Amino acid sequence: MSYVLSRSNSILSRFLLALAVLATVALPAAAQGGRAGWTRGERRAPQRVEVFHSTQSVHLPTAETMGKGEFEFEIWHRFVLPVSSGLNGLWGLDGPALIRFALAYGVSERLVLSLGRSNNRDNVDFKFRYKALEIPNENLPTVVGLQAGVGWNTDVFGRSDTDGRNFQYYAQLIVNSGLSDRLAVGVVPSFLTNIDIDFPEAKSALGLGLYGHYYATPLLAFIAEAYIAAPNPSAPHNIGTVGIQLETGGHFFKLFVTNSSALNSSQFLGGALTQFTADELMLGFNITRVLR
Amino acid sequence: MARSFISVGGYVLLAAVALKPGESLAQEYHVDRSRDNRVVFISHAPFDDFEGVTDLIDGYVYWEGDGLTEGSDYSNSELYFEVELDDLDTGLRLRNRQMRNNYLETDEYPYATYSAVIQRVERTGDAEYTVHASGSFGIHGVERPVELSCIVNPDRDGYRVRCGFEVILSDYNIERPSLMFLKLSETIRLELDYYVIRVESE
Repeated sequence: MSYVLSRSNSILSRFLLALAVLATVALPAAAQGGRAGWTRGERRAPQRVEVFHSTQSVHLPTAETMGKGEFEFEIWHRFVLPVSSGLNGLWGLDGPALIRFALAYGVSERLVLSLGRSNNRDNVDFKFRYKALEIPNENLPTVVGLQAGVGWNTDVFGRSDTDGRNFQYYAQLIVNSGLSDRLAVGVVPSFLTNIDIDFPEAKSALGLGLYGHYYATPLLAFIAEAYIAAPNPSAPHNIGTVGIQLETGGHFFKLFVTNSSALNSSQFLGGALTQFTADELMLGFNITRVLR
Repeated sequence: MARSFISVGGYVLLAAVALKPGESLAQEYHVDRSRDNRVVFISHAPFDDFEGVTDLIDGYVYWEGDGLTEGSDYSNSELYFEVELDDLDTGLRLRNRQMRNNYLETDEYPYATYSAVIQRVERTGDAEYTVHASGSFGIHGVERPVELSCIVNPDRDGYRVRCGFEVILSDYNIERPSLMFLKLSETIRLELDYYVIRVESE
């Protein structure tokens, strides 16, 4: 037995020795000059951690930012009529639709400022997102970001535009990790003040966003998103969204069904009016264009 | 006498070993990474031209003989450069990532390389040479023969090198997906402008 062991150890030793010789001779050869004394140095290109392709999941932010000096233009639609309306309502496409336009700007490689507007109570949304931390772990690359902003509802019946109760403030911690080359997930604990602007007294609340993107091909991803909202009597339901993302040279197209018609962050974080059931799902799309 | 003869023979042998033919005249230059080097990948397509730019080029040139001269024998020369593709900046971060991950696949193939032998040197001006080289260009794991002509000007302790050549993407198994690359030309032009500095040959 000991002979077998020592013999196999000997074979193993020779094999390892051969590997070591190969490693010392063959590998550096690719990075060295022949008769010249040049050797390849360390790679100098910055190694980036990019977990998600897009700056948004659907409603929830990812920790991705644009490059410095780049703009991102957003057009979002939510068709209020549910898909269950069938042919009569063209599965919701007959409308009406809630619409958001926004323009974001990359102040630096890590900081983005964004100004948007939704026709849902003429909500004006100003926010920033900061990519705070990149963890280039080989097994679990992770990016951590922060987003915070203010939603200003400028069309509230019976109040002046500048009434203090028309303003909602929010903050979100964004943690994104890549579970594999194809699957990325995100967790977004969120805080919202004044969750319902119609309440006589402002209430603050916490919620939790979760999402995952599965990249079936470099240009096609399947998206699932859930938001566990804080108790809100006027919007008592959690939010679910499922869809696809198509990616081209400068665009992202997201097509999905959801039970939330809210577009801007301060409205979305308050919860949904309807349940995530087949009867209540609405069609929606987000289109973004990156440009310089 | 015999001992002295052996001794002289030993010195000759030592000298022969120490001074291999041409070695004393070897010229070796490395890319000067501290200079303002520039490599540009240019796509000219209808309605959308763009460039991918990096300064991360490295490499060397080696020959035996005097400085760069017209008519010398460069058959033992070596010319090599490599470009870090991870660093290509096309002006949009989204496009950079797509170029790296989806098409150039830089995790697997991080460098574009050119390895060649100088064929001949022409003096084309007071302080200008044209260096003709023949070798192979490699990108995306594929190597193909490429003839290259570079304008070379003496600069400080070395030379400034400017070259350009074209790469047909399909020759290197680089796909042009219709969805993304409607606006990307099939032929990409590479332009290099970099500096080499003299180093002591080992």
